[in-house]
Amino acid sequence: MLEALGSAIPLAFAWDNLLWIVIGVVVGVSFGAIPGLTGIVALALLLPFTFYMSPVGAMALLLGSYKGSMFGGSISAITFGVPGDSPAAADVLDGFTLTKNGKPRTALNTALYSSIAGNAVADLVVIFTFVPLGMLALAFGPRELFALMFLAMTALLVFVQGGVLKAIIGAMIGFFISTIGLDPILSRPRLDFGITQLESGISLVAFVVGLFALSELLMQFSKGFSNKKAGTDEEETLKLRNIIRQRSPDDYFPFKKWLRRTWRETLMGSGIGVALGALPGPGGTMAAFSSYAFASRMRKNLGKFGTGVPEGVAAPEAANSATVGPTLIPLLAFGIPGSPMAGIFMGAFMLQGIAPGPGLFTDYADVMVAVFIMMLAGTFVNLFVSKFAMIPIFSRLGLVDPRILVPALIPLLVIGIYSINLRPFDVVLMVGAGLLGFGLRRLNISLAPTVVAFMIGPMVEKHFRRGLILGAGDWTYWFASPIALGLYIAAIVLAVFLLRRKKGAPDGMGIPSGEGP
Amino acid sequence: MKQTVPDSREKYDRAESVSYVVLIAVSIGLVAYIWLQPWAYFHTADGVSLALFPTVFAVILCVASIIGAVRKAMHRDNSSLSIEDFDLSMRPVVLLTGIVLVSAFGLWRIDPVFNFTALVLVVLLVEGVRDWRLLVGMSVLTGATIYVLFILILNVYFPNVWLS
Repeated sequence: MLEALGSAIPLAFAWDNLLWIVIGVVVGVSFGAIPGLTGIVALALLLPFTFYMSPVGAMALLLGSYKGSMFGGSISAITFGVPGDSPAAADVLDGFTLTKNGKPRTALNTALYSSIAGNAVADLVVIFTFVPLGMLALAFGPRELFALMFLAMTALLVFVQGGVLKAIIGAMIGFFISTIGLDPILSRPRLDFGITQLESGISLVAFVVGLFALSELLMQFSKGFSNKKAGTDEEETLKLRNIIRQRSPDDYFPFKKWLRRTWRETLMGSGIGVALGALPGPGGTMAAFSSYAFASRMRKNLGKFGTGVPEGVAAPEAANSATVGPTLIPLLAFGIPGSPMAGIFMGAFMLQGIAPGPGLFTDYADVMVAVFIMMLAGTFVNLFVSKFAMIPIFSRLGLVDPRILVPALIPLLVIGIYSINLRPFDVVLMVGAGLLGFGLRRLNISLAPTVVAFMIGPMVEKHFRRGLILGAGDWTYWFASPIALGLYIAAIVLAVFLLRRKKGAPDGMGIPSGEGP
Repeated sequence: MKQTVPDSREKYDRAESVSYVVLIAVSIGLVAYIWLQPWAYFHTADGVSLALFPTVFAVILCVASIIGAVRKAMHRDNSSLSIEDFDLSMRPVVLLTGIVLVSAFGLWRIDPVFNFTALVLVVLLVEGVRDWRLLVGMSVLTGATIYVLFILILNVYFPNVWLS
């Protein structure tokens, strides 16, 4: 690969390839920031255009869009309380609370810096260790993946506010809803209640957006938007004009302050994101929520998460963004796309006539080295575009009175959800999930276990049943793997240690229910 | 002097008890529904199949709800919840009904741009906004955004759309 560096550098720094990165970042951030649209929609829209581009240009466009959309989803979560995608849901917990407290720029700057840091760390790890990371990913079979998800869910259930029992209730609701649709092994429809549209299962985006976003809007609507003191209409109109010109002096969070306050959470989140991003399946959502859960347990953060602290934004954002590069590892190293996003990249490679897999770095070494350089370049382009264009716009939008903003968000949500599959039924699903989320919030049941359980439910079942088939009735099969055994022990130790600590701790520790202060 | 529990606290405790009862009823109903399905595994007797996982989750939900209800009854559940935040307002239900109705007409009958513009206007009026600049500005801006973004740029297909 080092030999290819000489020919890769002119490829990477060609003006047209750099331009494609900028365009990709702008499109990705914009799509991610609009409630109802997601990063994968942006990628899917850009994919056909890559046919007419060079391989490096195509990758530059898609990588820029992917990286931009990671932060874009957080913009929507922080500014409107509407996660742009499911991993960004973890940003709502503290990020949107910061916005409600009049500090949207603090939250957005924290998310941006942590996103860039997570991205950069992951890119460097991918570039230098993608082969051993790929081998590690291969070592994870069904029992190891099941054990990993067991650990992640245990951590989540123990960390969440409101008690373990309510967390279990929320998780079981999520798991149960995830069973609606096709059986993951036999591919037969189940629990569709006779509704044809449910045979393929519940749409992920409709469910997550409804559960988090619509339920948040309903909560605000039911309380009469009492979170903010609204002025008269004339005062609000004047405030709208002033918002464009100025910002609150308390809402100041420069880079040095971010570094001093959140370097631990960002580093930890980056590590979790790299580890989980490389594995097929778990992805950004699990990384974001796991990182949030672990960070909430740091001594300095005890009792603060959920009240609107930058650390609560840094941890999940770094983890989510750190999954970008590693998600591509199974694809680049073995030709196996581990996520829908990786699947689109695979499509782009195929359009260029390149088969991803072990031969990539021998037959197309200069192209791949150029792509690695693009990955790093895309991270910094994302920094500048978001810092100087997107944050100034969206931080001001966050200060707008919600009773003016919320009615405008609802149509965007509805049409955004409809436009994904062109199915009006998805709107019905979103409304149903919104009602469910509203009910769970009222009962102070955290939404985090519900959404994570919904996301990983099919994978949990698939890996467990595959393990049963491979084990052929031998229960010791589950503990014969040192990786799996280690993960189970870690889960038990974590649960016992944290539950004992929680007994003597102040109220309100852990992941909040989502209602906020 | 004997201290009495405030009315709002009693209302809240009753509501939480009701919610546990509802959860228990829902989970029992789910288990019964799943059990009555004509699953293939009753004939093949292969153990783990379509019926197992939904049933497992429904049973755990039932057990957790029962434990929660029992603990509540024994006053051992000390989850920290805001008593003041118990609001039986019907506004969310009205809003959801409005969303479903407008979606039905906006996506299947007339035009989403006009119908959602009208929805924004109505919701702003319900929220007490009376400044015509805000009313007209936000409604028109929302409609224009839908038209430009979804119809012109993304070419999303809406049946029976006038503007496309």
